Amino acid sequence: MDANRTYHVDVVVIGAGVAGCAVARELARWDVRTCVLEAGNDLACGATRANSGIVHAGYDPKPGTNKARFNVEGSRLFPQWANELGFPYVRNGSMVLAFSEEELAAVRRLEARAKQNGVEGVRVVDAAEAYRLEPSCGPGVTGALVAETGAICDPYQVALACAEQAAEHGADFRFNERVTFVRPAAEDGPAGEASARWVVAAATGLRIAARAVVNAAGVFSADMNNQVSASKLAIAARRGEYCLYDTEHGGAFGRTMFQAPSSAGKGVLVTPTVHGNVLVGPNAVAQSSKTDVSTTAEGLRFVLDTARKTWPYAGKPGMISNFSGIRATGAGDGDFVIGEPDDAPGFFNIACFDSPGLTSAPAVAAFLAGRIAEQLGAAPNAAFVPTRRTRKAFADMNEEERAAAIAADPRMGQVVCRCRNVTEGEIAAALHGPVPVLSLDATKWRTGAMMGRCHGGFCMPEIARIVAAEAGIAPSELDKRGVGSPVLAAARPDYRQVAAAAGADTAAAAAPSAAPAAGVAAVAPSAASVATPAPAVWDVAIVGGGAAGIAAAVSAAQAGARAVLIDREKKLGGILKQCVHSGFGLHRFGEELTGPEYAAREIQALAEQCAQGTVTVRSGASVESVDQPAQTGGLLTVHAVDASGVHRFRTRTVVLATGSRERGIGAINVAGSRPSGVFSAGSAQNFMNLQGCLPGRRVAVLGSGDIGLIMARRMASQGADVVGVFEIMPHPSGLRRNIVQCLDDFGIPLHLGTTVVRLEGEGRLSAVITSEVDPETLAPLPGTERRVACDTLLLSVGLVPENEVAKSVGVALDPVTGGACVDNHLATSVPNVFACGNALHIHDLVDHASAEGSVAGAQAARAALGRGEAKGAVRDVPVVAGEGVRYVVPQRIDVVASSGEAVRLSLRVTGVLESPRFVVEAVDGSGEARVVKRTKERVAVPAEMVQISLRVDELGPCASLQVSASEGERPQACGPAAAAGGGAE
Amino acid sequence: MQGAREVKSFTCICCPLGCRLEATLAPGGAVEAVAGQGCRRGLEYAVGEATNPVRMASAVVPVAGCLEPLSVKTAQPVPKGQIRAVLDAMLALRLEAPVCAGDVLLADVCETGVSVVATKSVP
Repeated sequence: MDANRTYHVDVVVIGAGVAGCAVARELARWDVRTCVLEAGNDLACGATRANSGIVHAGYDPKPGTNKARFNVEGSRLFPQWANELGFPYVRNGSMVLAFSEEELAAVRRLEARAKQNGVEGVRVVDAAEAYRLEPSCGPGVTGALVAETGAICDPYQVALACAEQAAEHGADFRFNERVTFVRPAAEDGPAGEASARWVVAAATGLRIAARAVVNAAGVFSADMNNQVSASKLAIAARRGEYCLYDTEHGGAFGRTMFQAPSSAGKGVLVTPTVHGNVLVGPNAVAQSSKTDVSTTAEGLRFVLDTARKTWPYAGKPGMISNFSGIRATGAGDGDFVIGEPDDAPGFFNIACFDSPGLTSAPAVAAFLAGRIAEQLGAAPNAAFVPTRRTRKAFADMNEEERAAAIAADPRMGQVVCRCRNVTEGEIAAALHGPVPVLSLDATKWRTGAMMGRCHGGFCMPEIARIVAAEAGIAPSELDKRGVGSPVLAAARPDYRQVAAAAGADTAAAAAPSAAPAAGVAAVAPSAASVATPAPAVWDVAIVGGGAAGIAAAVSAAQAGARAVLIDREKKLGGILKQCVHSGFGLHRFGEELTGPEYAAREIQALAEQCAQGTVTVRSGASVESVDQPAQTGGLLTVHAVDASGVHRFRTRTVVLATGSRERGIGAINVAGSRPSGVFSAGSAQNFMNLQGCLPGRRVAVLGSGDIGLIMARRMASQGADVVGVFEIMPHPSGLRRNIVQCLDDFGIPLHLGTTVVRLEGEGRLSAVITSEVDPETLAPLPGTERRVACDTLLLSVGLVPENEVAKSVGVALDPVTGGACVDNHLATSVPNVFACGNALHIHDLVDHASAEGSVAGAQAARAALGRGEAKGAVRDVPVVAGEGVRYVVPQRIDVVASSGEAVRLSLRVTGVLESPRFVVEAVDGSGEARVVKRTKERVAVPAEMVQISLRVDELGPCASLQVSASEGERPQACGPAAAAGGGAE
Repeated sequence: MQGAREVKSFTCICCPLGCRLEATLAPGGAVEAVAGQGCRRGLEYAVGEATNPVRMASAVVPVAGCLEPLSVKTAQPVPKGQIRAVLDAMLALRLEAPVCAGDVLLADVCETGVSVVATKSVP
């Protein structure tokens, strides 16, 4: 930008939040040149990004105010804008709950206010009707206001749609331009400025001369106004904190649920979002900073505690994020300040624009654009097209639409974000949209990728690669959020070139006529390497090409079945590909291998089956869903997409081997800012081991799970300073071997009974605040906080089985394991659907996942080839976790069909047990228990799976089996004999 | 330490018990006694750790023109005290495709007698 030049436009808009973008959109109706200056590196960096997303009905504002007027008008305009612009908007209705007589009176006052404000569709209902409408409401409701016109939207998408339409009509959006002054153009100013009315300058030296200014600067709108007008404004920044819940809980409420205002406060809301989540919040806390959007532990606690009245579940697991936003509340009467101050004609305020600003934005924009056009004498823009062509999200498309989209762009068949089902094609399109993408978060907000339950834990490395390939920004240069928040500490110098080349590989590998896939899969089979034509009906379709899935495919083929293995990635092997350390295969191969070596051995066995035509591999194909058969005993249909189109696999049986996901920072509700440098251990491992990047230089690790320990050593090996591992439990979560060889060997301290309670850092992470916890309640102990400076936090706080495909076919899940409920043949509740590996329950050793895959594949083959018998779960004997046992897999034993077979029970204990004794008891109909099997170990810890083998014939008649564990007597003698007790390797 | 007895302590990694092991070394470095072990495997582990502790080392190395780096490891365990030097030698590698899994990339790394090998193939 030439700092000495002044650029001329008709209108300059300060701020690209929803107000600024909506004004730019409305100005496009007129023949004016518009420039939008935004201090941040994206649209909607302020209040628009972090608010409730509610389109308010209009019963709340005081009659006669700007808020009342524009709220009601805005609420009416919103559906039309949603239609024209194509942003997500759902008129779901609102309710205001009363829990006392005082609150019921307040609700009645709101009803009266609604009438005064001209809001239709508002009524008061009694408690019974309230519970009928919203059965999830907590106890004690005395009545409620129902407002039919209340709605929800995605505020970022509203701003984006407006901005893109404005940009398509010629508006000039400039980011990273912080306005430093606004003043009337002087006669003696730089050449040419005299013809304008206003000069606006930014910190970069950019000067814009304009005939009109729109002040949509959010929390800074008072500062702008006060430079040009004697009618001074003041903004009191108020923080509002929120917790966001996973879509699994999205069905809790249909309507937006408010709490009636009372002497105790305004309450908080609980609302579904347009993306199917549940949003809880906000509080309202005055703060001096206008930019600090850190959350606080107290604030989040208040929000959840208060929300519990409406939604008793609030505070329980399922959270995926917390955030806060700053509202620009006017310090005077609190009303919006809209239009020109008397002493500054041509300077149009949208100031003090707190709630219901989002709702009001369309009405304010239409009003101001009209006024500005009139003042400038602008003619209507004959070329204005009010309706914007929008692309339907892949996630919302039906199969025909997906086929058409993939035919137009093969990248639409490459699903990148699994939580939200976002494709590479959509990410690429967003990167080349009319308003530039300058941060990773901009990609997230525009496509929805990285916004689901894993919050980018899986797809962030791949998205970083796509951004580098498409936009030419390496992840070490790419900001995650604001300026100064690089995603990674270092990437190789030629990252952009090699990232683009890797993308081209992906496209080639995914093409239907591809040569055998490359890399780990040098020996890997591909569809093209098999001469045998695909059958019309497969015996077994395996979903997932990690350790369990490969083993399932091999064993199914060995049992005589014709199998298809469908894997979303280009190369088979799942997570093994990035586990470059050794320690795999001691059980399965009798030697210690690295992850890639273990994968190569499994793939070799698979390749032998492929060569015989018994297994076909479809790499780069994402399974979207599985349909149940139309009638009992019929065929299942697996729906998948890849770069060549949509595919249906008709199959007799399905094996689900879909693996697991890491829990992210959102799941553990850590307060503070949202800097870059926070990674799930697995995504950091991917960046390091599959992309050759260094995630950070000074690293703290939260959680002592094995991946965290392995990554602590990897980071230290690669030259980073690992300052410590923090584990909330009083004992480590990972294997003893890893504590010694990953931490002790590298001098990395392990802090047990300690957790991270807060993140600090505006751009990149600068420190974590740790706290010791109460060993019983795990609650942080006040006064034990310590500030640990670091630029990176790795999370190793648990894995969760991945079961979206299982849910699509109706498989019943175990709430404890997170995986399917299965019988001893690994059959799920849906006939002919089997599950194995980490999708079934989390394994500590890949060897066990492979072994389980072999069982599932063989059993699926048996069922497909008619040697098994499809049956319901009714005749099965349930296996119950008794005292000291957290879960047992399988959850059922099919005694009738398993005569003569052995059953291996996999279980985890609830706590550390020395010299534990395990007892399996058969319980009969009257509750009488009979011991079937006793085993002992030297020690049992929750981190290590225990396995007990039984013979089904030993069980005898029983109604259920119960497995319990208790601490036995300590062994008296220490000697070689004790080693016979066993224990994990 | 000539002439003096030395006691070295370790956490046993053979099972989750994590026994606290103490090895008493005679002058000259031979293990004279081991205490704290729960089983014979612990005894063997203590002797190994006290006299010649060894570890596997693994790393990733960039390959020209290829986003995915090559994973490498020591073909056998190397002396624990040499791990940093071995890792640095691995990290200094610069490779060109193709590389096959099992290829020897460094013979006798840091004079340990152990080679560094590729653990995957880059075509």
